[in-house]
Parts: sequence; structure tokens; C-alpha cells
Amino acid sequence: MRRKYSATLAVTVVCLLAGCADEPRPWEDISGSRVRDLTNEEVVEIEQAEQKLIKACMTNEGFPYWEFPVPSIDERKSGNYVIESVRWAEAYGYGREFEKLGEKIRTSHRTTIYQNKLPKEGRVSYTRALDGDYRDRMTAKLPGKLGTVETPRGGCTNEARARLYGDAEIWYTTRRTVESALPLYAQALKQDERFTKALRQWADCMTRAGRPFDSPDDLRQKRAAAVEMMPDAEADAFDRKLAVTEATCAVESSLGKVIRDLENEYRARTLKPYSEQWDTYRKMRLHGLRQAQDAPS
Amino acid sequence: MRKRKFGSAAAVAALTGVAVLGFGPSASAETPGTCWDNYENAVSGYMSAYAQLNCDGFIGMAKGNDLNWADSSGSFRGGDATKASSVVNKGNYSEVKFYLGTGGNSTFHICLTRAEGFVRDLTDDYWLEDRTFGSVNNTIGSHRWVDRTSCSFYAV
Repeated sequence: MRRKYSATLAVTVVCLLAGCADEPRPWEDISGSRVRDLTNEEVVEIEQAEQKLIKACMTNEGFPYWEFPVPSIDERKSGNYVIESVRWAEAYGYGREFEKLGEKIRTSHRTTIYQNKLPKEGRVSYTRALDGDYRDRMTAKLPGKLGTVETPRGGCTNEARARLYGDAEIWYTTRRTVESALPLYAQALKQDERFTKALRQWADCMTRAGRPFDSPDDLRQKRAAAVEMMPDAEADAFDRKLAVTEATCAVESSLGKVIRDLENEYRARTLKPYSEQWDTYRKMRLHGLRQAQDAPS
Repeated sequence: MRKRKFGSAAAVAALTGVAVLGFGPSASAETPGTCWDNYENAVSGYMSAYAQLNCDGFIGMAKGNDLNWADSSGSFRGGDATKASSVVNKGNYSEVKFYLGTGGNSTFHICLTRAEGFVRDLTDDYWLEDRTFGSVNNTIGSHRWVDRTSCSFYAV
């Protein structure tokens, strides 16, 4: 997909990549009550748009690239603290099919196969075209005292993000700040009485159901040990049954809802000193959504 | 790093959180070159671990999970569970979550995302970003591939 740009837009694009102090940031027109976080559906949409843009850039650079699939909403839920829905539990158990799918994509996707067949210098050129060059790095300071992280500048992944979100470096630093909040509230949340009460109710429910566990963490540890020796079909049946029990108790105790609500509360509080980044993060994502929806496909 | 005080071992065990591997506040990044070479040349789709800093001393690589780096099967075996001092993630789908000890479900875990690509020195990374829980260096005993959201949220 090649986009045609007018001269003005071309200038703007150059500014997105290089940074132009006088240009208004493209996400800044989103303000007030329009500022909100994205839904899961919208996140899938912008990630798919990002893949399309990476492909367009790589093609421009003379490299073949086939778009990677992006994780579905259900797949994203497999890392949740507790399974919230019986539907999900019945369909996926503990997400074994997502693990297999992920491994298959990582190793047999067309882009991976192409990349790995290249001779050494070709592989290096390809990686630099896609990921940038680490010798020129962007740094993001993580919130609290969590240190710093770095990523290469340049490359098609950054260019795709510049086109989508409005600025590659601001996107990286903002995203890293906001998405690294969990360690700062994890412990306090788990000590909150509302959480411990719901967890006790979940544990009591599990005991009444004949599957006693102290917590979903405890359950996952024991489940992993149990299924390791099982053949696939047995493991899948075991998983589904246990997952349905977990989810039923999560609904009965409201544990799923409680942790979701508490996370929203604790995250908002944790991000208060970073309100500018939180604001920018949401605006950039909304801008990305706008870009994704306007793009010719 | 903030120091946290806990009333009991049970309280510690009940606390879970996920952090992201990066540079500690006091670390400087003067020689990232070696790990970048490893990253550029690495096979796409795999993560790899090394016994020394700067991605020297290759231990092993994995396209799937290994819930026990200390046993005699999987991508990591035997003494690997007490060795990793630098790591690379060149997966193109999913991030890598490392765990303290074997089992893949330890209370203590930490993520390495694709955007960062590698960590050349695990000595200044701490489980749950807290010195109280010890350095990640030489203590990774298992790993899984996960979605990035599982490194930043309890509930997606």
C-alpha cells in the first residue's frame, strides 16, 4: 500500500520522523471529554494498521515483509490474574492453544522464514531496516525508581509508529512510562481489603467445589505441574474443567470484577504524578485509531 | 530502589507483580555493542540466554516455553538455572516472561519485551523491581512467552 502525500503532508511526515518544534503535534487537537483509553477492539485495530504500515515501509526499503497477525482479544486475556468468564474457560482452558499458536507464528510465519534464510549480512540489514540501529538509541525513564529502558531509533517499526501515533520517540517514552506502572501498585493492590475479601470468597468457593487452592497463582502453579505429564487430549480436558470451576468461582466471589476495578483505581492513582504522559498516551492512541480508520486499505 | 518492609513470609509470598527488564538507575550503558551484534544475527522467533554479561557465553535458545531450566529436557538444562547473566528476545510475536526458580509460576517474575530486545547485564535488575527480592542475575529458572499486556495488567 503506497500512500500519496501532498507537499504539506510530506513536510508533516518529515517532522513526525525528525521532530519539528514549531509543528503542532497531531494528537493535540483531541481534548477534554473526548480523551479516553481505547477498547480492546480498538487496540486490535491499531495494531493491525501498524503491521500494514511496517509492510509499506519495508517494501519501500526493498525488503519483503508479510504482516504478522495480532493477538485476538481472547488471546490477550490468557495472562489475566484470574479467568473472569465461563465462556472463555470452556473455550480455552488455560490458553494452551494460544501458546501453540504463538510458537507456530514465531517460527513459521513467512516473514520469519524469509529472515532466517538470509545470509548473515542480509539478516543484519533486514533487522536494521525493521528494528533500527541500536547504536542510535531512544531512552525512556521508567516511573518510580524502576530505571531506564532503551530501544533503537529508526527502522520501519518506528516509522510505522510515527505515522500512526504522531511521533516515534514520544510514543516510546510515553508508552513505556504508562505501561510500566504495574510493579508500582502490585503489592498495595494485593493488600487491599477489598481484594483479600474477594480472594477469600473465591478460595472458599473453590474448596466447596472440591478444588481447593489458596489463589489463582497457587492454582496455576499446581496445574502446570499436573498437566506436564499428560498427553494433549487429557491436558485439554483437565484444563477446561478446572478453568470452568475457577471462572464460576470468580463470578460468584466477584474476584474478576474486583481486581479489574481495583486495577483501574490503583493505576489512576499511580499515574497521577505522570498525568501528562497518561494524557499524551491516550491522545496518541486515539490519534492512531483515527489514522487507522482513515487509511486506505 | 524502594525498600519495602513485610510482616511475614506469607505476606511476601502473597504479593505479585510484573516488572520489565531494563537498566537500573545506577547503571550506565557504555558497552551495549556485543548484545546488539547477537540480536542482529540471532534467528528470528527465538529468545536466548548467556552465562556472562554482554551476551557472552551462550547457554541456549528457545522458541517455546521451558518451565524448568534445571531439568534434563527442554531448551535449557541442568546448571542453566543458575547461570543467565544476559538475555536476548528476538521473538516476533509475544514477549518473554522470566521466573525466579523453576515452575513458571513463581510469585517473582520479570518481562523482557521485543522493543528492548536484550538486557546485557542482569545484575542490576531485581525481581519485582525490588532489591529485597534479589537480583535476577543467575536466578532465572524458567520462562514463558506471553502477550505484552500480561506484563502490564492484571486484567485486560
